[in-house]
Amino acid sequence: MVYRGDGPAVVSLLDRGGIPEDALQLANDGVLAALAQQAEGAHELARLLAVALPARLGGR
Amino acid sequence: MSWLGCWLSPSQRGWEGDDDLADQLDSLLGTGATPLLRSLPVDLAELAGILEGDPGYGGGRIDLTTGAAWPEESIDYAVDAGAEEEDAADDPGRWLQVNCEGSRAGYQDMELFIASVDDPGQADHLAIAVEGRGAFRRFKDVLARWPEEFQRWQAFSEERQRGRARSWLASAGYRVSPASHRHPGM
Repeated sequence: MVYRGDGPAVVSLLDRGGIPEDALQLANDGVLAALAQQAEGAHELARLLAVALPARLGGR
Repeated sequence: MSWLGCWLSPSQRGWEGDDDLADQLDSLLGTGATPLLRSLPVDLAELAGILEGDPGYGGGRIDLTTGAAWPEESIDYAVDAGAEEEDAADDPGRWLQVNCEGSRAGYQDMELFIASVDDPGQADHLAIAVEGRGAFRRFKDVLARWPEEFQRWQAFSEERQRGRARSWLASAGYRVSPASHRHPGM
């Protein structure tokens, strides 16, 4: 669904089941698509991911 | 969403491409500056395939009008078949050259993955598999004995490649534009 750019489906999946810990890049691409499509819940997810990415970077 | 705290093990910190992605996310949320990168609908998996593919095939290019990543041999084929005009194929304003960077990063991914395997016996088998020529093939052959670990490797490897491709693209002055139903039916 990330590859086909289905933002609402990505939001639904992440909201429901979380994401595998090794797929932050892929998940973020899905959320970026969801943001671009103004999918419901996309902003909340994006905020969470915006916190998670710097944490994986070891703090920015 | 309670999953946030469980996905940031220390071994995962500092992955290439994460900072570029975080900048893009911050920009979209209005919490950071907008990166001075041009937007391009690039498929990062395709780009990674060129960047980390067989150096013998000679890299490839990104079509700046569409974002499509083409292996060099595909462009040669398109010109030979008359599907692409030679002048257009040589237009520097249309193409972003992608040089193959080899398999070093991919090899490091295998080492990093092996360090994350819980079972000492499995880790030992994998460490032996990556010694010498043919390491990638042997690594996958050995890993295939343990389907769960194999699946974890596929996700891990794709994530690492995706990050490196994103980082490469940012260093060339571009960011991935969000997919917008790019590939219907996939």
